[in-house]
Amino acid sequence: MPQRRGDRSADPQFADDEALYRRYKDGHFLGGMLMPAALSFPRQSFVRAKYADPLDALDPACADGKDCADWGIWAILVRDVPTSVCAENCPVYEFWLRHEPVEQCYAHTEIWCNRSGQDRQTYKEPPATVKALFRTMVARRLRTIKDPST
Amino acid sequence: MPSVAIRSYSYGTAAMLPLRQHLRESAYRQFELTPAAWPRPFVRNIELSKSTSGFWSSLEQYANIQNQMQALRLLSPDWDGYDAPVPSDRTMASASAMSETLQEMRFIPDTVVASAEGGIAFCYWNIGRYAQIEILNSGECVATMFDRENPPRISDLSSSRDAIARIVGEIQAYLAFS
Repeated sequence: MPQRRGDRSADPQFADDEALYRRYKDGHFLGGMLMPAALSFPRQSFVRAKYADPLDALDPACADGKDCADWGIWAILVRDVPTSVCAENCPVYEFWLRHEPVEQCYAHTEIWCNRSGQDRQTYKEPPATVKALFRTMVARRLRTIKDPST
Repeated sequence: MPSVAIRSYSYGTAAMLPLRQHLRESAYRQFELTPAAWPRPFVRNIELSKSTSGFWSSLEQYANIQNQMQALRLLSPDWDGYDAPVPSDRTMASASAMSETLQEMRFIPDTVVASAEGGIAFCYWNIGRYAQIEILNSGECVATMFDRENPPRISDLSSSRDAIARIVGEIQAYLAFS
């Protein structure tokens, strides 16, 4: 059962070896690799290991009420999330983790980004090539925790 | 000396019918098949020829891709559980045109999937190396080549035949180094 937020505030501290969990449906793995097409912008949602178990990623409380029991789960370590992405002919974009607890799911966390040097309260959607590079870097580093329907 | 009666038969005469029946039954026994299944060895041979034929296998692979694209038309919004949009009609039309071009170039994808960004991705892999050509609802098209060891390669792509031919050449060369 996911931890509820209660009266707790966000915890901005992430250890390098903390894992982030995300659910996925069948169909995007090819040759043992999750294709970057499975990943999306903006503000990718995760549940963070400090306040959640992997299975919390499938719990309706952390999935907007949806039944995701037979979905898969993958994980990425905080240190493996790219912090800066520089694609050809594009400005540099910075990425960071932001703990965004919701009432039913205290562990809810998002990846934010904007152009290098911008205020971190601002989210800025990057161009397609930056997105593709970021999604690919994540796909290469993630690990499967649970296959769908297991 | 007894005389030997030599009779000549022509196929199809009434006198030949018992022999034809005998041969047919003998053949069935050899293959241990019931008469209803008699064509199977021939069908099997045809299937064997198809499986070793590049032409037939590419046609089957292409048909498979077309089926996968049809299935993508049935997706509902939020299909990935994180509010992913479905591929737009314009994206489907572009993807259909590109799949024909890829088929003409004999570079049929291993699979085609919906993109969580909103769009469609043609995916390839060969022993540890991966590539995808992604057509997005925004109208953009991006090619990606990656593996676990080397930095990924990302290219903006226009939908012109020359641009597709160039990226197909690059992806083929990349995958061939697996």
